[in-house]
Amino acid sequence: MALNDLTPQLRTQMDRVEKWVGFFVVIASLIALGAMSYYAYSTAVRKGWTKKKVPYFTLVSSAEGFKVGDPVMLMGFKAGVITAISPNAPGEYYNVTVQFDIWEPYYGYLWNDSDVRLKSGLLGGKTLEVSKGGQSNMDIKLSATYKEEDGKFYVWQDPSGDEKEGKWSSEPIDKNFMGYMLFCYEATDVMKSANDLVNKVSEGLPGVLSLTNKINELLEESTRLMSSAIGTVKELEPIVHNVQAITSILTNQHGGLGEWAIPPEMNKEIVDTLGSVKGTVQTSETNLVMLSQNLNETLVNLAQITSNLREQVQANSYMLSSISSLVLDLDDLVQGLKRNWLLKGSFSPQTNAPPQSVLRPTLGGKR
Amino acid sequence: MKNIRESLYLACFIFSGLFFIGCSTPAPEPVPYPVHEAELLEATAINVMEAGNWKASEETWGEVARKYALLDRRDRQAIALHNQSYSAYRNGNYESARALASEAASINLQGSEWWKNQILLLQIEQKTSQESRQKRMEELLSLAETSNLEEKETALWVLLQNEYGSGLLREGSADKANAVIHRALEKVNAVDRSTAWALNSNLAETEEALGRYDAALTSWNKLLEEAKELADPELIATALAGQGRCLWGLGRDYEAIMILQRAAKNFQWLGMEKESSELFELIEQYMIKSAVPRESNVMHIDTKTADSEVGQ
Repeated sequence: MALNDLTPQLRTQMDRVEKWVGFFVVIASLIALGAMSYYAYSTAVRKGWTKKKVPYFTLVSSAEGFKVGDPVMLMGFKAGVITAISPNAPGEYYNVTVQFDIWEPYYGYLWNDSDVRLKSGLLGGKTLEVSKGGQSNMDIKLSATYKEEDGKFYVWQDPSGDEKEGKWSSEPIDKNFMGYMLFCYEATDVMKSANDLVNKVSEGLPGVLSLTNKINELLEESTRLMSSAIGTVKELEPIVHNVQAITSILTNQHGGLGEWAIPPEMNKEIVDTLGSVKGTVQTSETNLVMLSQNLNETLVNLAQITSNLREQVQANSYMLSSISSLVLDLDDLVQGLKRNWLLKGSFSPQTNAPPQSVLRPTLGGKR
Repeated sequence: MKNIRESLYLACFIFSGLFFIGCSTPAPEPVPYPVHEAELLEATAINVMEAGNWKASEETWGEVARKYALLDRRDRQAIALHNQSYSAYRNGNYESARALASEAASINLQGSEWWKNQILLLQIEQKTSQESRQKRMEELLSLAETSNLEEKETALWVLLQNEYGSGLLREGSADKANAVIHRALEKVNAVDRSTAWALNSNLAETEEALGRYDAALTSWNKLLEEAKELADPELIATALAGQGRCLWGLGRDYEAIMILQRAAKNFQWLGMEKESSELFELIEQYMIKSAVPRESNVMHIDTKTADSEVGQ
């Protein structure tokens, strides 16, 4: 329908609507533009595009866990991002070069004694963490890694060769400058170590179990031996008594049986032999005592294990008490409902009629 | 439509307000745990006693009495002691029952509970010492006279008269017993149906003792129907025994023995061994007298009928 066909009133109305639509479209466009601008700005801030930055690099053994754009941390803050990861030449000692930018003001914290440490994440990722410098007791002169003059950055050059002190670069850094090198301490990967440890434990566990089985067998054997040893000792007891009696008689200096009936040499030999018998018995007794002590320790350990179990049970009692309090709370709720005038009719009324003394009349004279 | 909706909104609003006002009702005073415990135990004792488990009842009432003694609730302790005493009496522990009833009486000192204790003591002493019973009865009758018990505590007075009448009947003074019970029955409206039934049954027994078997049989027939209405197996058995005795008195030997056997069986099933054995002895005597072959009679016992009586 052409606009000319409309009545003047309708045309006036349509004009007004068009104005509002146009206004709405303009406002919406402005809002969208603003939102996009804000998003672009926040992204730029997040990525450090709006900040001054200086380049660094470090050398690591593996690029595993790194990717370009990953944050570089300093004192818990995001201080920069990784800009490039590249493998080194095959003949070089270090395998990988990781380049990263550090934003202002964080590069002010990085001195020539700063270093890089690798932090492993739970999911296998790695984070570079640079350390604050200027506080170590190095032999060389401590200096900031960069200085800014007239909007240009000059890099600190550590002494090399015969030089005793480092110096600032004569020319400001340019876009091709690779960066100041920070030494990387590749600490042992904790997760990897833990995994290795777990693997080793897993591998060793059957051995441990077999060892414990062997210990068990040994203990059983010891117990059996001990019981039989006790029997033997008991059997030996009268013999030892007899030996003691004989030796006392034999060793009785004057008028003793030994001196009287047995020649002195033989007497001495007999005494020595009997003495060694006694010593053997005593040694056996000592071994038995030691064995029993070891068994006792084993029993103590067992008692400790059971006491730990008991603690577990006691800890569970807290859960039981929680359930108990829940029941009590529920009871309170129900008691509260009972008091409500509208709901109390739903609960059966309490019968508080006092009890009566029971008395039945006597039935008949025959009984 | 709009009005209806507004009315509904208003009703909801009012109900919500009332609900929340109701919620703010102050909580009742909490019952201390020992009191609550004693009350629970007391309720258990009542249930046990109503179930006729006299052994458990004796023990439970003893525990209730001990708990109330600790709480210094003397009135409830006395009731518990009384009920323990009654349970002991039903268990045949007469000495224990007597001691407990005396203790309850010493707590009550006076009032209706004291009278109940005394009447129970009369019942116990009926089994133990007739002399004590005689003496106590005289004292109580005198006291009832002076304290105008008939007007003040009519139900208790009726019970006392029942005890007096049954005592006289036992002593062989059937006419006196008849008169006493007749007088008590004038106040039958003051007592419950069970007591009224007991009075009527005692009256029927006095009729028996006086040789008025027709009147007694009529009474027993009526009493049997009432006992069935009351659904009290003990009363049913008692009524059957009464019927049997009356029938024997009327010369209807065979019917008498049949009914007496039913009554004896009922007592047996109720665990009332003494009553049962007494009835069996009576049956034996009747059988010897009438020379009715015992086996033939036993063979004709309608056990189904007997079962159904107890079941009622």
